[in-house]
Amino acid sequence: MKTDRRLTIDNATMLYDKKHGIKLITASIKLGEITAIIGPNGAGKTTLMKAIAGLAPVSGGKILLSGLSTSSRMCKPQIGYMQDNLNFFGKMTVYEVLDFICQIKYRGKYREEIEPYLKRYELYEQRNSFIGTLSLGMKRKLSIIMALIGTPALILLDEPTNGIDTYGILQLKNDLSRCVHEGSAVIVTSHVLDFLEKICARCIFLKDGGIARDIRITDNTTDLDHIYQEIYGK
Amino acid sequence: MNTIYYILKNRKRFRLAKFVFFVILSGLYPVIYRAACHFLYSRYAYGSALYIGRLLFFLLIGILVVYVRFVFLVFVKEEWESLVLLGLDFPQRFILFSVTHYEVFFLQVYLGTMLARVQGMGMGPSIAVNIFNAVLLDLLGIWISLHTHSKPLFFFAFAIMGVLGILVGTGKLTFEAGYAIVMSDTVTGLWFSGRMTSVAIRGMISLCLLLYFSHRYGNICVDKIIARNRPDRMRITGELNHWLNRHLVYGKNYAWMYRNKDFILWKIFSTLLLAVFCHAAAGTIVLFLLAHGICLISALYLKDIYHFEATLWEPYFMSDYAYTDLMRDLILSGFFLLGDTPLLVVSIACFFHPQNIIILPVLALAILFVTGFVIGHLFVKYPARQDYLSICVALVRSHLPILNLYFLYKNIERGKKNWEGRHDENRPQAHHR
Repeated sequence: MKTDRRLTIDNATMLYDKKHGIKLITASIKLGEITAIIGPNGAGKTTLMKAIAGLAPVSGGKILLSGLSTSSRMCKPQIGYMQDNLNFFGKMTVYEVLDFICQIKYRGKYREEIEPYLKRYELYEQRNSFIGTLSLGMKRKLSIIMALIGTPALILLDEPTNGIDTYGILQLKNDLSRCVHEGSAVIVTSHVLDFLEKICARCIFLKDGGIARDIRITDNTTDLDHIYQEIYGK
Repeated sequence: MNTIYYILKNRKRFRLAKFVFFVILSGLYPVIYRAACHFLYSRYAYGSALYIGRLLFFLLIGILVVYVRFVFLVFVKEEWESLVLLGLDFPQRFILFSVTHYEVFFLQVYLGTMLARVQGMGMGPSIAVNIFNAVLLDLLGIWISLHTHSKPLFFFAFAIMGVLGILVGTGKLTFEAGYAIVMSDTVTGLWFSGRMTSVAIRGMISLCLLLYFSHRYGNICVDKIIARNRPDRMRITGELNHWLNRHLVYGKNYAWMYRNKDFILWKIFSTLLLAVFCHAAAGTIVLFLLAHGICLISALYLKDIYHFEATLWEPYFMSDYAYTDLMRDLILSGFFLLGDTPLLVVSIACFFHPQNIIILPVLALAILFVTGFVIGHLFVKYPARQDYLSICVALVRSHLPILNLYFLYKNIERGKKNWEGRHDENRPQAHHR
């Protein structure tokens, strides 16, 4: 049986406070393209990302990656998720954290990618520094590397441009293009529409926990600013 | 007072551990002194024992001066806000530094007194002399730290080393010459005289230097001290870590635990204690019970390992890391954490007393079992919070014959079920430290 190589979100619902969260989200995302999830604060972007990663259980519907539920153990090595809080790594060094991720996720494979990633994101000099001593931007870069290493089938990046420098953003664009070329599906959330316009093939606009619009980006004809103002009236 | 309180309330556990360690050391002073004297006089003639004692005394001073040099800079960097904003002058900073780093005073008085008494000094004069010695070496260490990057100091240090090298190389500085210098009346009078005039002179020198430092460094700019010393990003052991941590998941907890000061303090203390009892030629059973007891106390630190692992629930959650792999890695790292120094000390003791060799494998097995039992017990409800009571219960259960095997089996079964069910909707919520 041919495996369906896509991320399928089928009526996914996850509510907390009986009001906030995501409701009946349905979408089908092919591997090999970058999809943006856009919306104002509280629209449900992070909730949707966590539901896709399997970190937050959906109360209704299902989310499948190539036929496997994303909350199942077997699916986890295929998902690269950008962690927002690295403080618990405190007294581990940058290199140790990445080595740890390679060990538990990939049984030690992809260790050879650690140094190139550190050099590209200008963290090589900090490779022996404790996580607790890093600046916010460095921690964000490290989170990105943790999600990208091993080029998993599904990469989830929640506001990756927050706090990182211009050079880091350029490297991120290059790495995302490479991952997509290698067959990964990338889902990105961000408030920076210019950044998303340049890299994404598709944009899903969320409003009040549901999908307000789902569009394909075509060169020179898609104006995300205009669409954003149309949907959210700002 | 507010500053002292602010500084003391941070890193509480390390400071408490240090305090307890020193109190216990103080209580064991007669035992350690007798053991040291027995060691020296049973192996060396009287004259050689005195010579070795004096060399150790000077070595102690050297080590403490270097220690003060490094620790003073760390102190200034960490407390610079208090030092600058409260406008403390040098005597206040000196007192603050000495109070928060009283290990310098303690070690100089404790060990210096022992070594001075070996030279024939009375208890009272040796304590008084070493208190003033501690003040002097504190001041010397601070002076060196303030001038670390000055060219004259480097030139002076290298010149001394060069001259010594030339003297040794040309045969002008021989063992006899060194012995004569160390055992000379001048050295005896300056360092090991129990006369009150000597103590008083030392006290006056300390006071004068303190006044001089207040005048010379009263307005020292703390910012300049910090700026002068670049942060050490490339840790010396970093590359060694990479080589050792090939199987990182085994080494992760081991490396992490040894980055905690109170654990290091406990390890040093327990190793010294075990070494003293080994040397006192305690019987096989007593040695085993002491080593085992030390490992049981070390097992309390598995709570820290557990909580560290509990904060890592998200990376584990986003992987398919098997429970058996997790247990294997935790038990291995736990075994080395608990048993590294006890097994090393017992191995050395068995080398000199081969009749005790049976302790080694029995101790290793006991440590392995206790580690596995406690870890299995803690991880039953991962990542729910655990406390010391839970570890104590586990330690007691691990010593119940037959029942311990039943508990071990049940813990592993329940833990595995909990771990593999962590991807389900009913998984327990993580409790971050």
